[in-house]
Amino acid sequence: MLDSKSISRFASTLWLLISCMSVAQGSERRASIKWINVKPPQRIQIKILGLDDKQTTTLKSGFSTFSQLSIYRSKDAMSEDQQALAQTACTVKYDMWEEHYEVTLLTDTPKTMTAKSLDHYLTHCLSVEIYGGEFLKQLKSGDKTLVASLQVEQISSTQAQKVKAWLINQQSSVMRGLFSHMLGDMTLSQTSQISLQIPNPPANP
Amino acid sequence: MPPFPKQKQRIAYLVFFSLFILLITLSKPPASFAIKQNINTSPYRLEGVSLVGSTRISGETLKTELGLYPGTGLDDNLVMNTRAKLLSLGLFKSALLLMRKGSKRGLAKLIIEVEDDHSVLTDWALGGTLGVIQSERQFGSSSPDSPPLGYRFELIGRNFFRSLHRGAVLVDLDSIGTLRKAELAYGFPRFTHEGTQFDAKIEATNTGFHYLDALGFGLKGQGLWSQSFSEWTDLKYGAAMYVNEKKDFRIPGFPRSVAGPKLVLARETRLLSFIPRAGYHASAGFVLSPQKMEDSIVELNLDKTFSLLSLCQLTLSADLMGIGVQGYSFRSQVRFDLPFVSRLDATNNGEVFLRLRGGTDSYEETKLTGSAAILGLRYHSSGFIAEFGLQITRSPEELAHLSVLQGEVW
Repeated sequence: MLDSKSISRFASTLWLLISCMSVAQGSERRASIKWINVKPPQRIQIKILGLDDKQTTTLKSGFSTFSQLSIYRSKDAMSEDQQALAQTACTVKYDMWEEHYEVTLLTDTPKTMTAKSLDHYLTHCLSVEIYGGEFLKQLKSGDKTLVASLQVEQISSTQAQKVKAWLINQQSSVMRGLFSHMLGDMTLSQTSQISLQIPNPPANP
Repeated sequence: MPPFPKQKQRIAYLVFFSLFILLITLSKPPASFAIKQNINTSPYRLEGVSLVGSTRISGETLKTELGLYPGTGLDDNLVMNTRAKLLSLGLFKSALLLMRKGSKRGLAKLIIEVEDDHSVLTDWALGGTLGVIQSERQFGSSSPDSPPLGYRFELIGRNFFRSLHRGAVLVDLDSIGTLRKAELAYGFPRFTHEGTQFDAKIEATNTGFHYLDALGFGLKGQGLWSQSFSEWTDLKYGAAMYVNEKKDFRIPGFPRSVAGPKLVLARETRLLSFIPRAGYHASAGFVLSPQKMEDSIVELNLDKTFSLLSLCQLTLSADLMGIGVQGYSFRSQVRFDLPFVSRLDATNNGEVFLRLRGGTDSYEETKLTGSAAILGLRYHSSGFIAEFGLQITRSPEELAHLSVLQGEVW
């Protein structure tokens, strides 16, 4: 006979399995989201599943590229430059002869590794974990969306700032009007946004 | 605006200089991101170059200008420098460098993939402004019967003859063809990473219509080299000539001409775009007048742009030109820019603006004061800006009688 406790445990396990397999909705399967722990401290793992064509071309350019994944509570939080909930960044260089990726994870103590496939690179470079504790309140309130900001660039944001400084120098010469209204349209840094639908956390058995 | 006595003018100089020095000393470049990019060297050497995505510049010109010769090391520094040079031309929206396998190991082909910036048109990268300003009937005009409708045409190009020559021409007319303002500017073709560039500009301002645009002089010409010696600061040097000679294009009572070497220290932290960005511009310049030293000119300029609640931009501007210790010309402006789209970082094609301006001139016995308010609408599409404005102007009455005064002043 199954008692209520067993049923509850079974239901929790089933829920966890379903949650683990759930994929971000509305993101064209570009990211997967899963809860890691059933018991506290629960955490969410977000992994980018693939890049768009331009990002893939950039990544395989043969030069060093800069990849960064940042997770924000909302689109507004991202545009207001608020602190990201989680962030990971690395530099990647594709060796066109060996056909592998030389990855340097940009942590406090940078780690270098070789990724033999694109998926290997995505796993190590574009995957983050967020501890769920802070989210539970947000999720209970019904707001289950997060926003991922994904940048795959040939130059980092720091370098983009330097390019911007050059532009400012150029336009600040005698002919200010010559560049007045057009430079704002230039793509100094291209970032794609992915909307993430967080599944409900598994019930605590 | 009441004119300053001379001792107050000296105090104003000191305040301006102090503010300028303070801004330059205390201001830091925008905080860069904490993440640094590792610069890697590459074992690959250049075998060939191809340009993809644009006809605005030829492959040969590109190779020469970028210094891409066979055997060049294809490392990350090359990517940084090349991208910066390409993007700073203002011709391309994006630039990507790709390496492909060469004929043997150690050699690689470089593909430069650019995307044209379609906010400038054709291979010459043309753009401009078409403006219509309806003014309240002005009593300060030297042509009091002139109609109140003004038309402004501006054409700019960043890549004339597909050879990176830059230039701009501006004409401001009323509906019967009276010239109110004209500008002609030219810039040498060269990549800005070298830090030096040359620009020349001539401008003529009909002081009866645009008194506030004429700081001290109705005709100005200058050619300056700009040398960047820090990330945000430029040193400019060259020659300038300021003239108050031609009828309608002069500030009465001011020196007829000042010409000589010019030196300017300028600091700009704003990226000028359709909607002004937050930051500041400060500059201090000096024109030495060898013919009449007491007419040597000091020019000071401060502009500060703020974001107000991420909804609109507020720009405060002040320009001061001191002519020796005998005179000065001062202009100030408060400008509000309210974009159609509330987020300033979003693509904004339109805005409503309000400009409140004031100005005063004093030289020996001449005292002039004027003000203006302009409410308008600007729209940006396909490289051109359409501008419509309603203007109320209070030009100095003395300018209405220029022709009468001419004999007395000179």
